[in-house]
Amino acid sequence: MRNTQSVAIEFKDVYFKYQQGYILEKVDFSLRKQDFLLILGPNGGGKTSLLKLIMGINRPTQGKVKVFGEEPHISKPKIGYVPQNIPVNDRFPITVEQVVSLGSFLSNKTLSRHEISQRTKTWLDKVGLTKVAKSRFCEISGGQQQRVIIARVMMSQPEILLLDEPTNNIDIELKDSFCQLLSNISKQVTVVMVTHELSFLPKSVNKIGCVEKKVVIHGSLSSLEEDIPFHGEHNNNKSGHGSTHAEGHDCGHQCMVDYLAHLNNNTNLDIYKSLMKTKT
Amino acid sequence: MINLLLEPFTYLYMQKAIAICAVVGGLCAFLSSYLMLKGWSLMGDALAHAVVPGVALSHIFKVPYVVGAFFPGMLAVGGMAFLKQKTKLSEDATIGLVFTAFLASGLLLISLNPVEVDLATIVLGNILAISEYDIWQMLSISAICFMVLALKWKDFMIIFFDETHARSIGLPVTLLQIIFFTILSLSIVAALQTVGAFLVIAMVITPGATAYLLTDRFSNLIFISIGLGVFTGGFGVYLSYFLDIHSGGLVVVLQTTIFLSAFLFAPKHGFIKTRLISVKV
Repeated sequence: MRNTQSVAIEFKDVYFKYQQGYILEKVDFSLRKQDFLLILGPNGGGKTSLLKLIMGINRPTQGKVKVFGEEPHISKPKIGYVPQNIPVNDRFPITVEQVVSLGSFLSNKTLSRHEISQRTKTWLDKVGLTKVAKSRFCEISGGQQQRVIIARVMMSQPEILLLDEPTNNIDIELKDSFCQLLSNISKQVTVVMVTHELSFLPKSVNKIGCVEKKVVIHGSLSSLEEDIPFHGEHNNNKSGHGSTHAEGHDCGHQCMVDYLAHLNNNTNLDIYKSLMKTKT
Repeated sequence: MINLLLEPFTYLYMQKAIAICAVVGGLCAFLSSYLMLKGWSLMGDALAHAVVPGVALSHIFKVPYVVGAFFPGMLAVGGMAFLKQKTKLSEDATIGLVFTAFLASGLLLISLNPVEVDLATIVLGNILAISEYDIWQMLSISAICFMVLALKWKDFMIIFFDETHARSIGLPVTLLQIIFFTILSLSIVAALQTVGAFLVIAMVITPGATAYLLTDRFSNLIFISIGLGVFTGGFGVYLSYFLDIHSGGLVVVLQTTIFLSAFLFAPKHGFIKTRLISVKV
């Protein structure tokens, strides 16, 4: 049950362009605290640009982005970001627990060494990496590194967590525990996760967004079913688009597959194909 | 016997040379911990050669060594960064282009004023003939650089380990990188007089590379590296008194010898240990 109604992220009529043209157009949506938004979209559709707008790395060409009612760069300390690729220096002699403890640097200057150590242990436990705490970071698997990076980000106690394709390196056997981890995190913070891998679908996702220049946010997976009563049919009917906050039963992947099939003629083909591959 | 061993310390010039070389060795070793891990070791080499025209100009116009050498160093760093950003050239190509251009112009300046500038002093260094003024200059440079590095070592570590994370937590990455290269340029100017432009590269690579084989923790790596830099700097000059050989060359040979020992015998990452493990497997 979501306790608070206060707005965490707000896009008001946002346009954003690079030199080659507009990446995002007329983006208008808001997220409450503790919402979990899953963002889908084709490559180059503007997913990462959207995250960068939230972080204040990109500035909108037109319109306003607000994070907790302020300019994103002001709210930067409240935002945790897990990038698509882990761009760390893999030669660095640094242990897993050191990497996690770095997350408290700057954000928690008042914490004692003991408190940092305790918090590090807690997060290593939460991400299931206590056993490799003393290993060199470069010697653990890609999936483990991804979880270390999430733990590091969470050490700074962000109020918003942005995840850019976090499932890329996660082994399929670990998907349940990874989804559970994200669901637990989302009880405390607003989560925005960009992905194209719908086999990793945390249960606490309560909003789905499709990004391809424009952003279409749906209340939940179940609301998609309501929005698109014509499963499997290719149809240009856009009547279901817009912000909804319906709660209800989880209609599962088929609903999303149908939804993407519905959007197929709007170049969501890449995602659709990858979904189909997953299904088969 | 004791008297013989203490003999170098009875000479003021030797005392100064040992102290200066130990301090500069420690400073370069501190920087080597970062440069070696980032794969920027050649940047140190490039800077050492790029400051040659500055050294020549400072001799010609009688301006402080540090001023003359520092600005070409920063210009070279800026030039490399600019070329890398504006062209699709690889990093080693930009480094090669810039440092050879600076070195060539330095050699031209020296050939125009052969009496004023001693090429051998620039390329090989001469710690034993260092002036009182240069000593204070080098000590001041070293003190400032050590202070900045000691205060900001963790910030630099975060940037060198994961620049994206550094930016996301609000570290002023570009400013800190400029500060780092400023320190590097200053340190190289200081090291030029100890081992010369040709060998300064060893001072900013070898201690860090050796320490890398001996520890899994970056903070320990820094301490080991500084220890090696101080020891080889001081002991190299001390030993050169008895062997009557070029002190800069001996410092670097000592560093290389210790590196080779670590490479073979390091307890966890040494060649013999890793070989034994692979044989068992």
